Amino acid sequence: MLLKGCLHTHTTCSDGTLTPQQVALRYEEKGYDFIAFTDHDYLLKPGYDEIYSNVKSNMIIFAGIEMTVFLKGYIHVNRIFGDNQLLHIFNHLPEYDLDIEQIMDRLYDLQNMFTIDAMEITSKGFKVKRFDEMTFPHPSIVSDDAHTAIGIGRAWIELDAKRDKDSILKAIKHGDFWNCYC
Amino acid sequence: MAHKKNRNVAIIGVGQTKHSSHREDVNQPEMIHEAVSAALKDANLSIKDIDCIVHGNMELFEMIHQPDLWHVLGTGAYGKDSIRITTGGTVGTTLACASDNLVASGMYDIVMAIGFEKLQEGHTTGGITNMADPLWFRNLQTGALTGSTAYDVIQEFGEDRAKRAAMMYRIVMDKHACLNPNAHRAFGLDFDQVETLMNTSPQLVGELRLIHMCSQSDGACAVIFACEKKAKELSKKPVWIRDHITIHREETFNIFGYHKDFPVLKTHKFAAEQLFKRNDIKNPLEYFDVFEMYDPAAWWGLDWLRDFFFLKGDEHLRLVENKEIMIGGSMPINPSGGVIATNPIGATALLRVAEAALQVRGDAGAHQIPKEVKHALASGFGGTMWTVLMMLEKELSW
Repeated sequence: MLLKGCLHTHTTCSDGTLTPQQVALRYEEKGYDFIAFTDHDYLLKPGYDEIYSNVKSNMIIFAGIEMTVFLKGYIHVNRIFGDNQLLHIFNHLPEYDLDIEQIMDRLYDLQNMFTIDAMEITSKGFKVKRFDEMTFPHPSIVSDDAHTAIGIGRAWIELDAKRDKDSILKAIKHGDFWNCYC
Repeated sequence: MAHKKNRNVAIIGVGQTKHSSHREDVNQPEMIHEAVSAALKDANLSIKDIDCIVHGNMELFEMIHQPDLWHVLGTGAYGKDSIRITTGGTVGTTLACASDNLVASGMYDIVMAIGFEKLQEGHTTGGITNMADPLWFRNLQTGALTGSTAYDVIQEFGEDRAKRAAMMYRIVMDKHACLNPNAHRAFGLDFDQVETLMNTSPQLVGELRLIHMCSQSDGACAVIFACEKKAKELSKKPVWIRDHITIHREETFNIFGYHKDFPVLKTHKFAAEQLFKRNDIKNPLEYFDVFEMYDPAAWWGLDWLRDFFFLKGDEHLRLVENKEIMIGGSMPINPSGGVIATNPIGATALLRVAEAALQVRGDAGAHQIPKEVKHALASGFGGTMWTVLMMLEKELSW
């Protein structure tokens, strides 16, 4: 079935302005089928996982974390947990002020630490032409990286998969999804 | 005695926007208009009542020239006398000082100062780093991303105590920001996170960590200044400007090459010494009820308490450790959350004055300190390492 989702968004469990429940409601109102909470690792509130699991929603809610990795400067990597699958995304490429060679250099190092599955080519949900036109060794993915209500719904993915966590993550790993912008 | 004025001046209106990392919902004139409208409403005035607009921000942080001209629809400056000021991080307090001087001199009866910044629309780091250029003998540095204060405090007081005190300061600022609906960053940090944050927050330079550092914010602030006659006619709660001082010293201009006998960040101390001496204030910690300090990072906020209040030994650390800097403490620092919470640079130092004025009036809302505020202090810092201090009073009685 066709599913609409976003795998990068923030809540009050780190530096977002909406609670996880409020975030879920906003996305659900916009017709999403799945989202991932990906709060920053160094700002995580105690008990964040329980807060995530208490969110009431008809959507599939992935627990995730935005990791801060030091590689000649700080790089952000999303780790998203399925039931058995694990997804890693090299986040917001346009925001590092790096050229393509430098990004590939960081990717090389990151791959020694994690199995990178996708490259996020948006900045706060906006299309960045230079990155949108690039071909990377991993699927290019878009997301909101929303921290506020106004940031929700700018960019999303759509995919044809069974409505369960692992099927969604497998589809992303295979690049079987479409990037969409509002 | 305070420096001589031709006539007394008071703040009669204060306005500010909601501050955020990205005010995508408004353009620059619209954002400024929010603050201007709020200040006019607060003063119960219309734009017709304003004689002069004093407009300021950081030069080129939005990569634009002469914003005062193309902001007129937002500032209301069309057809009015207008002045643009840009003095770096201090610009907000320089706007306040200039407005005070313009009214005190008799040139204008009512002046509105406007500070703004929309940092999402420019390249802040580019603007800052281009200041230094040894090739052209511009051996000066601006910007706040330095780890030397952390190093110094750790050397003096030991690693664990210094790091804890800096993080305590940071958490206090966050707790204050959580009470301020206009603050940009309010994470809801708690004191039981001190150790976690000490270890997990990404390091920027040495022990200066991301969580210690101020934000990049979008926002604007407007403050209306009036002469004594107008202030008494128009305002039930005028906040009087007693004195202000601006200090920049030659030895702080060149910071490449540190020497212990020529510390680089002592303009605060020089400013405080001169200002308090000429106003016969012997114990500033006792005299002032609140201090809105320009604190770009938790390490600096912690360290600078010593300079501003003439503290000895570890007194400044103890103020923080004992939570005396909290709302309700003996010397509340930045009930608004300060610069670490909210930093639209051109507005940041004007916000210190605006927030101090709100405290004096008793109109700060949830972040109003519980005791009566008769004497408030506000500071600005930046540019090529300089300090501005402004004293605000509830009564015209000095």
